[in-house]
Amino acid sequence: MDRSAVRWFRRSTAVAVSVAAIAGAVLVAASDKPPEIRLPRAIVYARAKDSPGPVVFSHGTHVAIAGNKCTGCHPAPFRMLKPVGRMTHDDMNAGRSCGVCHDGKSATSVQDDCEHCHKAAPPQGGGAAAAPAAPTVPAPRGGGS
Amino acid sequence: MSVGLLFDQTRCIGCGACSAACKEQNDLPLPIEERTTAYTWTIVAKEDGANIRRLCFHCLEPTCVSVCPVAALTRTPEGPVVYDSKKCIGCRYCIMACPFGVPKYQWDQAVPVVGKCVMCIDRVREGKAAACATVCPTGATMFGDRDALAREARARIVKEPDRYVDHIYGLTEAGGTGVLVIAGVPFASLGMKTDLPQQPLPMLTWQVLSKIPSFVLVWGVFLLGLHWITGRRDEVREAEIAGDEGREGGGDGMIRVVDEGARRSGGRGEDGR
Amino acid sequence: MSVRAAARRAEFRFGFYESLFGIVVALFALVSFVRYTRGLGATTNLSDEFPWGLWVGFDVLCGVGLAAGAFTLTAIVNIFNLRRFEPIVRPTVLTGFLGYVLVSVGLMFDLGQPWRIWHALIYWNPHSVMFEVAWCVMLYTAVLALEFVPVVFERLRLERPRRIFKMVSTPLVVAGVILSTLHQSSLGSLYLIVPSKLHPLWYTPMLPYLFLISAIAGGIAMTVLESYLSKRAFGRHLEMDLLEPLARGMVVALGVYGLLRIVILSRNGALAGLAHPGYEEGMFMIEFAIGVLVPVGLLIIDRVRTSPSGLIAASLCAVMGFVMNRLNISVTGMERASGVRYLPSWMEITVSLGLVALGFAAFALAVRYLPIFPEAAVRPVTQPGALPDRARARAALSPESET
Repeated sequence: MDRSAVRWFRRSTAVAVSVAAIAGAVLVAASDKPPEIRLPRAIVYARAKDSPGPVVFSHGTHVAIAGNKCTGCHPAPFRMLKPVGRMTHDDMNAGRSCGVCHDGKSATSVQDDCEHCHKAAPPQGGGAAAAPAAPTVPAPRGGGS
Repeated sequence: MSVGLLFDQTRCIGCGACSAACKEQNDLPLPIEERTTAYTWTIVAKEDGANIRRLCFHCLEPTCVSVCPVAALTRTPEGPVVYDSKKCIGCRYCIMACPFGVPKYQWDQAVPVVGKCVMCIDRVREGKAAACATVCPTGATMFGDRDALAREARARIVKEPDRYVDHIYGLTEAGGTGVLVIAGVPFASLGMKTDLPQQPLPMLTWQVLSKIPSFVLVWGVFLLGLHWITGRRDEVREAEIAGDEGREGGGDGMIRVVDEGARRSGGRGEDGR
Repeated sequence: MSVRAAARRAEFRFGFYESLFGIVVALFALVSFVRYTRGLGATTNLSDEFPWGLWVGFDVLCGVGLAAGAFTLTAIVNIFNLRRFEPIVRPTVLTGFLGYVLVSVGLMFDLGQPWRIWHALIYWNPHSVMFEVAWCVMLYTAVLALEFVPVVFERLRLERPRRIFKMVSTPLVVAGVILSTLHQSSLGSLYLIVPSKLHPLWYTPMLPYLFLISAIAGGIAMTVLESYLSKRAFGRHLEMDLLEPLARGMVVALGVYGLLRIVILSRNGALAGLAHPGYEEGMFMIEFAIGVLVPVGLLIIDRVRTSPSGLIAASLCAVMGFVMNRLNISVTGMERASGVRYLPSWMEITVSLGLVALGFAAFALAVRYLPIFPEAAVRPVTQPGALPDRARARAALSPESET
């Protein structure tokens, strides 16, 4: 690219960004801004050897379904501050852990569609970075995940 | 420097993460009740569509601490007001006295204790934030140095005066509290008490109790003096009577057991009683 | 021997009062079981909004206040050296001692963990009014016991111990008056901490003084009533020559109290509220009328004050007004701010009534076996079970009997 084209490109980018920033600031100031919600990072569970694919838990989808209420899952069956860190199909099939809802009646059963949770490739994380920092769950010792 | 919480009512979406984290942190039994109880130390209440948290205000000069006869409630150097269930005798003076109506009792237990938010003092001592502040997804509950939070609250009100009622609740209520609240609607409409004194309450009883030692001294001297003065008058009178009737003493008013043996043995008490 | 025969030998009648007493005690035992196995929630109508009810308002506040006759009388006899009041000291000290013992028993029901009541001995909080009340009540109950012990020694004919105890009676009385002044007023100080909760008809920084003055008046009224009840039960006559001057003291105390209340209420604006009477205003007016206006109005009339029935009626009103005042402070005046209405459960009432009944029974037993009243002939130790023989006593007192 020749120098004048580079200069034009840089200038127009700068102008565009500034305009966007100012417009955004004006819009934000003028609007009745709803609280900015920062959900925890997506939780990527470590895989057992026979796992068909990684499982990523996204707070975004679940919170929306729960009507912006955290109390449906917390603190039971899922802790918030000190996560148990083990998700086994034994638990889920017995109606504990994810199985509380993913029993085929309230949500897709854990025993039906493996692809529903075990994605071939991990998706983008849900929501901006926030506390608590969700740890990578260590591999369970027995029972698939 | 003491820690506190800032609750920004306008940012609360009523998700209940604070209640859930509190239950987990303090090993409290489920469910999360509709009002605070001895088992549910914080909730998000809905008042006319507005969300408002209910929790202990962790007063800077706590009333509950001053009234507890066995010092089961104490204010830690870090700031939070905590409860030692091992000392508690269950007199419930704290429940009666707290101007915010915070402490609650285990009425269903044969061996009951009081329950109230302790601002996760264990986490605080590890350098962490209180559980509710840690999990709050909107930052409605913030944890930190109380003075810094007060400055932040003031800054927010100044920056968006149309968004907030111009008052930081807890700055001076009951002499100032560790938990501060700013809101988008009048505090009275949120069910919060607005008729509280703006000075610490413990002074109301301390100004009476602190005078006790000098009172005991003065009153004791006065009573003994009175006894001495009036006794002198009686001695004089008794001497006159004895002189008149030639009887040994008398007029002592002692009540004698009336049966044959006692009349012989009934003696006269030195001080006449 | 059958129960009936044994009862007859002990001259125990299954009359109306005895049956009533039996029922109350049986219910009392039942309620105790529920209280200690199922907790306060199952026994009382107390709640987080209303943590103090009948057991605090009546058993503690009234129980302690009405036992104040003991310190008033002992002060009159020992400090002011008005020895002629001696004959009524013993029953009053007994009433006081029993009253404080019953308050302690009542606390065993009200405290959430009553087996920890001794904690105030080792865990101190000098900033707490309740800490001070606990200590003063503990110490004063001990003082009352020590003041009463000479009566027991006299009964057991232990002359040396009796004399030793009599020697310390003045310091004991002084200690008792100091302790009583402190804790009677502190019962009022308990409520200083709730200015935003207690209704302005009752809340005032002068609460400690009001409680002390009303305790003095209430104690005198109780002395009159206890004399009357003893007269009915044991055939004693009312010592009008002693009770009448005491009644004058009660008039002065009630007058000062009433005047103070009016001044306080006019200053804090609550008096104006009486123009539009609501629930609290109505309760206040009844309390003030029965507890102050009627007794004072009656007793300033010489004819009423010098007649036993007038004195008794006025004292009864004073006691009822006293009880109503303390219940108004602990219940009525706290209801509005609490947001709930409180009425005691039948179990709470059973415990309070049971304690009163036990007090009566203990008093009757004491009069029977101890030299509480001068002319009641006490049976010698060798003959348990016989009723006092008043005729024999009168004969023994007369100058013709042999020594």
